[in-house]
Amino acid sequence: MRFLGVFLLWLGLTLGWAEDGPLVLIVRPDQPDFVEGAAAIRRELGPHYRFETILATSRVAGPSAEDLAASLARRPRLVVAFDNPCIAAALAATGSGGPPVIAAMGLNLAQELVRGQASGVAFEVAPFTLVTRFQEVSRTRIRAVLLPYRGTVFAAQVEDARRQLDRAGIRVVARDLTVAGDDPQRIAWTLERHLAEWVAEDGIDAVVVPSDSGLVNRRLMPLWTKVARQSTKPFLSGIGALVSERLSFCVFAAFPDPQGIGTQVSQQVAHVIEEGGNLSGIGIEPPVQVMIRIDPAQARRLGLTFRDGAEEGR
Amino acid sequence: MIRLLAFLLPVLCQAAELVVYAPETASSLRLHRILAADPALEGVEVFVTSRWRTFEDQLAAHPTAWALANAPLLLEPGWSPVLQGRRLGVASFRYRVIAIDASPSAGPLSAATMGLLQECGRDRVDRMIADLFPAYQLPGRHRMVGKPADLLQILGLELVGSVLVTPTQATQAMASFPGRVRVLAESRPVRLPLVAVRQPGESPAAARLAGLGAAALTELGLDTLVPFAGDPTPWIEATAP
Repeated sequence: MRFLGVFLLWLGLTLGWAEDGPLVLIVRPDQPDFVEGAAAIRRELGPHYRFETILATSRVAGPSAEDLAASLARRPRLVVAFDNPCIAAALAATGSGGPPVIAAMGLNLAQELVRGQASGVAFEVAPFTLVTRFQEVSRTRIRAVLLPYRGTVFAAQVEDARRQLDRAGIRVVARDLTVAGDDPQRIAWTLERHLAEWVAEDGIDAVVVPSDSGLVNRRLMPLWTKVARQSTKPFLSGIGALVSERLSFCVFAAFPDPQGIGTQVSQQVAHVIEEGGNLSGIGIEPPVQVMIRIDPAQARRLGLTFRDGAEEGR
Repeated sequence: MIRLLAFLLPVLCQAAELVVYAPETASSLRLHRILAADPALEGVEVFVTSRWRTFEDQLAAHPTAWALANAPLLLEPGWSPVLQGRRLGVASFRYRVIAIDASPSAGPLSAATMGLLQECGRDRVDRMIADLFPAYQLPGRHRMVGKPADLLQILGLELVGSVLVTPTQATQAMASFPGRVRVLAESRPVRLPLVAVRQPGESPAAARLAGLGAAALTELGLDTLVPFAGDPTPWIEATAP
């Protein structure tokens, strides 16, 4: 009888289940957005799950290798990692035989993660979401958008945007700045030379400002703001900070909502643990729920009126 | 004695409360304003939400509150329906399963997944879908979202192959994806929103809410609220469409 008890205990621990349900390890920085995202996961998955949290040692680093190893020894069923350093640490520590890793709130996840290595939720808002949310809250009909991009890095995302927006009756005029190579100097020179004329083209109703530091950076920011202020077309961004009266640049931003990302991650966790799904079937999803921000001064200048209560929020 | 009074007074003077779940309202704030100003609800504290999760939280926080919501929850044990909403002379609507362009029968995981608004627990979704669509073979994997606008987002982002929508949401989808939306299935008729209370027997809720003004009813998407009569089952007809 004693052997049976020990066997059952061993079996329970081996499978990662205890009396209160599967253990999920959350690896994250100790910053408000990540706290909010983790809280949403706990709330969505409910009391049937157990959670353990490991914090990053600093804002730019992952957790200590010892802490991570000690937590992994308790055999979590799954690891959720937020932010690139924590994601990298979690992937390195779990290896090929460890628990699956779901990554979120990190930059360029689609490029950083080998397909099947982890699933997760991207931090970049998809152009489909950005444009359709703008269309919805501004009650403006958009037929074509300009989307400058680096083809060497973002070709697949732009192809997705083109296909998805086409189904919504919106044409994407994508301009690849790496046609002549991906040298940063050459990209900057091409953008400086062509941005104003691309924006002014007939038929373009709005401009999607790429969430790409290769195109929107300290050197190119004066160019973007100058062209935006001279244009009568709305500039839209997936980064909240690019909408402010002080900056006087983008009129509208749809940016990731930490709670929404937490909810989306919890759906992936439930799919893997409760439905036996695998990570490669999920991949890296764009965020579905976003927050929006509007620059009223730019809106007045462009003659845009937004739906009641749409100035800032979810 | 004073302590006892201090304890009892707030309980005895507690105002009637109404929690409204209105996922399709354009603005919860506006609906709240209209309901709160309606003479029929004078002295009733009104809470309005378009999110299911918040609705559940509000019901838990206000255990004696009346509820106005769509049928599935309020026909669960523990609830007594008192009023039934009607629109254009009928008390029901049919859900639709819609997709963009093609039938989502094969392909990646997302194509084999149907999106729907979270209006019940994950454990009850399979049963709800089977009840709604007894004559159809629909995707077995479901993905729930918190608000109707997110349904069109997950459809547009290709995270699901189809979505379950109300007629209003189907119209919005047709406007969002012009000429591309296909209706794959139509559900059995489902009750329109109803008013229910948690204590069976006489309830002032029925008398109060039956007197709601036209502005409030219009904002709720209803023409009238009539006394609830009938078999308290979620689905009005037992026949497949």
